[in-house]
Amino acid sequence: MTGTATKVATTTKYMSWLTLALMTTSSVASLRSAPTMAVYGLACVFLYVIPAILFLMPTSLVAAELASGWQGGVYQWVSEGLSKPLGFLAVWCQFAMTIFYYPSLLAYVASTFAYIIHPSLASNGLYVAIVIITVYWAGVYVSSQGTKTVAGLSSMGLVIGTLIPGTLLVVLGMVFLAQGNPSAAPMDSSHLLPAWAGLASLVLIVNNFLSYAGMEMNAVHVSSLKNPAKEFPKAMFLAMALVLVIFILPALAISWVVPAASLSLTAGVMQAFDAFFGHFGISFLTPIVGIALVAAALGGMLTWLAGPSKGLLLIGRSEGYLPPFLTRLNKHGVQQNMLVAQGVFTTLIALLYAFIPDVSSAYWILSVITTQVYLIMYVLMFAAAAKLRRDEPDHPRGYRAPALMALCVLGAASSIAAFTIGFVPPSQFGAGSPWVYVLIVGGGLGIVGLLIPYLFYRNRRDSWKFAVPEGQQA
Amino acid sequence: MTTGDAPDHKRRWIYITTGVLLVVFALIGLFTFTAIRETTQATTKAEQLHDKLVAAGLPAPEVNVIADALGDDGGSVCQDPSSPMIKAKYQASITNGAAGPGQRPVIGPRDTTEAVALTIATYCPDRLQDYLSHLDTLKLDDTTK
Repeated sequence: MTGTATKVATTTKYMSWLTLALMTTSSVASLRSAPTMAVYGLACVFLYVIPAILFLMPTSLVAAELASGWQGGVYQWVSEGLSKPLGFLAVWCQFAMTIFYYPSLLAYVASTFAYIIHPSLASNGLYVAIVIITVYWAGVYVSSQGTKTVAGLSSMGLVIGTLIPGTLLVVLGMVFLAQGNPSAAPMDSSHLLPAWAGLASLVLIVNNFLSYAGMEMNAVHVSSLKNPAKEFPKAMFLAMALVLVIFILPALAISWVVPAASLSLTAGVMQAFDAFFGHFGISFLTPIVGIALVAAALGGMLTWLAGPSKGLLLIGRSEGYLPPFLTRLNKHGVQQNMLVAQGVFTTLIALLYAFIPDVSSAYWILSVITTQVYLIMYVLMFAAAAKLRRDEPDHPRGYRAPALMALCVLGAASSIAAFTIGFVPPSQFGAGSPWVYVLIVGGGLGIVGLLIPYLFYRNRRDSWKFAVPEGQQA
Repeated sequence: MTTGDAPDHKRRWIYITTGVLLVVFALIGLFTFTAIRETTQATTKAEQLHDKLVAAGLPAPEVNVIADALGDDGGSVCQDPSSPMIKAKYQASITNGAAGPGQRPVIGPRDTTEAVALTIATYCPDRLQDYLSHLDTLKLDDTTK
């Protein structure tokens, strides 16, 4: 490789474990989902805690052990534990999953801005297009400036847009109850569990495992830590705690004050926040919190732009799976061309999503396909962790997860359950035949999760290989 | 990152620019946020909606909370439900509790969509048919208590 491809600047500065913890939290948690889950009242605790035990805990602890022993992300772990082709499959699955995340996020950003400035803008095509294109490409530019820039902005986004407003929501919610007001959502023991509506409830509970998807994603930046073996597990533990608190407490606080079933769900996130602040006579805070929520969403977007594509880049370079044009680095050592290629694709999907009637229904089916693909990565990760513990018990690890084998079984079983439930048609599929849905999801899964990575693997070339510096493996 | 980050001064400029933009947008929001509150019309409409929700057996917010949130025109609830972006927003709200890429569609609760239908019927009845047509394309269930 010539030119910018090999001229990567070197700095001796490291990222702190606290920054990595905030970055991880930012990529997984936000207040965006609080009104949606407030609809379930006290049962939202169950809907977050059960998936935390069954999925968040195994994922986080296993990723902590793997990252403390093998520098890098899922590619390195699965390659070492299982095989290189499966390592590529794992990192591809992680990357493919992100593509369908951005359209709904960008639409959310556009509608939140519109709510604050003028609600009618939300249905104005030109406005929506400008927001989507500007925000996304600004994100691509920031991501191309290196991991430290991304880490700084995503951490700030988390503090400004999630931690501060989240604390405000919880404090106001407690004030509301302390004033003697009855909670809008019943808080007695009979409401601890969500309503049981058969398959629909099972879909909700099991799909909530995916609320914690991505806890392992920032392991790709583990080489940025000074002492990864000790610091990465610390970052994971703090992120786990923050994610749980951010998901549960603000959702509860909203359910105390606003009967969410009446105002929040299809009316939109901002409407619920407005009703909440309206109760306290501080509606002027709604636009400020709206901007803060947008900041948090963008911070989360940056981490996802920077993480998985970096994993794919490094395996692309070390094994020759991707053409050199895509794996070329800019002067900050960032996979700029890959970000741009991804950006063109994402912008197109986002614009179709926001402009073409009925595309949004199709979009959610595609979104299911990519989360199905992501679950393959988790199964591979748990299998690799179990095999590495069995085959290389003495390999130095900064952190050894307790009962790792049990965690791997639990995590893999949860992933398979979420995978299976992905074949149940959601609301957005309407009255279509369930079998057609199964065929679409199964076919898409075959194409995105197996055929495309197979084609990359089959067309790999030795001439596309480039040395990856020690400590930077994905 | 141990390799390749943007130099400190450039990073500082990116942070400052981002901060300034956020403050500017927040100020614009403060000055342009048009919530119509506590007008007679808003309170009358809110009372109507409150009564309809109670009659339908749904949880009803206090009248003043409804008036604050929906004003006298229904706010964002009364945006054209047949618009692709509004439709996309509705569909995006029927998902699990994820805030990241793990966001996945679920089978939505019927109660909430009924509450929105009552809201539209109260504030912008001319939009109701579009919304009901949209609801017809969704499969819903009783997943909330």
